[in-house]
Amino acid sequence: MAAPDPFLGAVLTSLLPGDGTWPSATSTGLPSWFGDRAAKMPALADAVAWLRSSLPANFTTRAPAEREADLRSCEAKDPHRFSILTTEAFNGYYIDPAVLSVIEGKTGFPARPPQPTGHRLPPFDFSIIDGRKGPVNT
Amino acid sequence: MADTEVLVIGAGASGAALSWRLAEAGIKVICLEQGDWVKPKDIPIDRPDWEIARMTWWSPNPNLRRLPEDYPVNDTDTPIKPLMFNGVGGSTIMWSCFNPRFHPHDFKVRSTDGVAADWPLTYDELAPHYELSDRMMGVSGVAGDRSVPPRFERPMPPLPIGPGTQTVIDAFDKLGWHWWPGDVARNSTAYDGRPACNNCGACEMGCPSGAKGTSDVSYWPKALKLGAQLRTGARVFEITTDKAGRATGALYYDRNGRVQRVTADAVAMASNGVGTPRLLLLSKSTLFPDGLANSSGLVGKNLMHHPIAAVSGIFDRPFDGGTAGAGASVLSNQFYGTHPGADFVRGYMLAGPRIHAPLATALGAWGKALPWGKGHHAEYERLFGRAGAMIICCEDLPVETNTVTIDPELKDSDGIPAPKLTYAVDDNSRKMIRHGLDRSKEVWEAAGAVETIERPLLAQAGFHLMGTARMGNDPETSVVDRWGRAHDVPNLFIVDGSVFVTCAAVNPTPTIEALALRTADHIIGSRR
Ligand SMILES: Cc1cc2nc3c(=O)[nH]c(=O)nc-3n(C[C@H](O)[C@H](O)[C@H](O)COP(=O)(O)OP(=O)(O)OC[C@H]3O[C@@H](n4cnc5c(N)ncnc54)[C@H](O)[C@@H]3O)c2cc1C
Repeated sequence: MAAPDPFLGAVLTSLLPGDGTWPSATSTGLPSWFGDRAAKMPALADAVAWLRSSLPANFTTRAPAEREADLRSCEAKDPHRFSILTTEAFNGYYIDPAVLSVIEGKTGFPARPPQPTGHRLPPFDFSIIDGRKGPVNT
Repeated sequence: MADTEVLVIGAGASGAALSWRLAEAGIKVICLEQGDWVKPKDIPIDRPDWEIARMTWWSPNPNLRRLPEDYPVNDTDTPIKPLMFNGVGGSTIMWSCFNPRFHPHDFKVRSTDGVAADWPLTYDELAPHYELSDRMMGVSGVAGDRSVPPRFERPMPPLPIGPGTQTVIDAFDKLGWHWWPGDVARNSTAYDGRPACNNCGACEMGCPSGAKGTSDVSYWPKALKLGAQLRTGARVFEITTDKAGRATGALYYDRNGRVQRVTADAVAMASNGVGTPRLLLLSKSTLFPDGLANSSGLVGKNLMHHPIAAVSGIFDRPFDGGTAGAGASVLSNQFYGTHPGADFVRGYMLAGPRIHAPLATALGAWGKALPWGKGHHAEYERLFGRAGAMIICCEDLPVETNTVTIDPELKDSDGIPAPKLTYAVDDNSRKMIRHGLDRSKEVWEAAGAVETIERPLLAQAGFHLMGTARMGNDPETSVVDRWGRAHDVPNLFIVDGSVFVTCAAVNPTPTIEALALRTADHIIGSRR
């Protein structure tokens, strides 16, 4: 697991700030997931390096509104490279257990993968096709 | 003496059905499959990062998945990207298992609409094989839909529907439009030694329990028991022929990259609507300078997809969040076939609702990119669990310039030239899509949606590959006859979606399987 990188933490929290029960990126496993991912994915590593060289040297200590403005100007300069960063940030955030349990709390969608549990649904109710049914072969 | 009576190339839906039926009749079959068996543990459906897997290394798009057994497809000249799976079970490993049949009029669009060509067979001729295919794959559903010919009761009762589906049904009722629970090859009860589905809602990942009817768990175990041989890791690069122009077998690379040969009395192509024309075009010889069975010049031409469009309906209340659309959807044939007053011929099926999972929602699956930063969570909450998508499945017409050809540069990992797809959505489909988008919006409005989002053409939806070696009575305008036998090569059969003359507005696999079973019966009959 990569050591947390303050620069990445600042970027990710700007992309996915906390809001009510939603955790900010840095309160989840996203920063270290993201670092690991960049180590294996050259396009992401390139996008991170580009961002690092494009943002002001004091980016990590700037106010949130300034950071957002900095990032928006990078996005405007190279939307494609920037989208690699946002896609991977969303990828890591929305598989994080803390985030999935917020989703479960808000919508009932269980914080677990589809298998092995699946979902319980009531059996098909034949009364919904009452009066609609046409001829059947026998 | 040849190694086998029938050599089948490809162990997917059609290859499995054909091999089983032939083996049942005591015919010696060898099937060559470039991929492998998929084991339950190979399917990343129980991992926290299952959604990432689905979009990358376990995607249905071979160009994203890039497993060693996949071949690349040049898809730069098509807005619809090809989806398939290469392994035992073929693309059924990842299919959504929606199991509708063609309607009778789908077989005669030249006669009814003056476009394309009629099939050289009728719905009634195919009906017994549809029934057989349903029993083999295991279909849940209910007979009695008045918009299609009467059928036998399905092998299993319909799957449960979720709250989102009920909302769609109510909207169809409000509009007075047709709807019916879709036939699905997924077990609503235990069936044929396989368990009931636990409604996980992620069929396209593959099914570790075997509750989904995939060819590796339905046909193949039975075919193998009956003596059919299946060689995996066997990548065919040429169908061989003799001086008389008969097929003699195939050459393939084994797992170690060594060239192997199998000889056969007859060869059956079951490599799908892209893989089959690729192999035929690669199998050039002095007798067949333009590729095997290609005197008509139609091998690789008339590629059809079903252009798929969608409309998302966004609600200000929960729609289907708790189960993420794990229930079965419904279909509407209200706009199926040619419609009086429409500015296009033929028609489309509506099916829905489709529900997107948490990560897909964040990545814009509902047709709207989510903002990053401050507004992100509010927008996410507005969409996740509160939206459904209506799918519009359009009948594509065959167009000769929509093609599968051999790419001059791209090759697979064995150095075999890869296919290139060239495809454009035609004017008729474009008008049909517009009509479908407008009607889908009406459904969502009737359902009480507060917003709708159009998705006029889904790119990652080239899962139906059809038409590239079409069937017909005339050797000048078709590649195979009504039994799937190549006009030019009397012992070469094609049994996959390549033989489709037209593609109807329904998912193709029941028709592909029924045709493969019918060809098998023809081979069996001719042998007697
Ligand atoms: C994501 C997804 C969802 C789908 N959903 C539905 C649905 O809901 N309903 C429906 O009706 N259809 C659906 N389909 C389509 C369905 O899966 C196909 O129509 C069906 O599997 C086609 O059968 P086939 O035998 O023609 O080809 P396939 O099943 O694709 O099998 C072809 C086989 O040939 C093998 N092969 C190819 N070339 C070679 C070679 N050179 N040497 C050796 N082997 C080779 C391949 O590895 C593959 O295993 C879906 C497909 C996908 C990918």
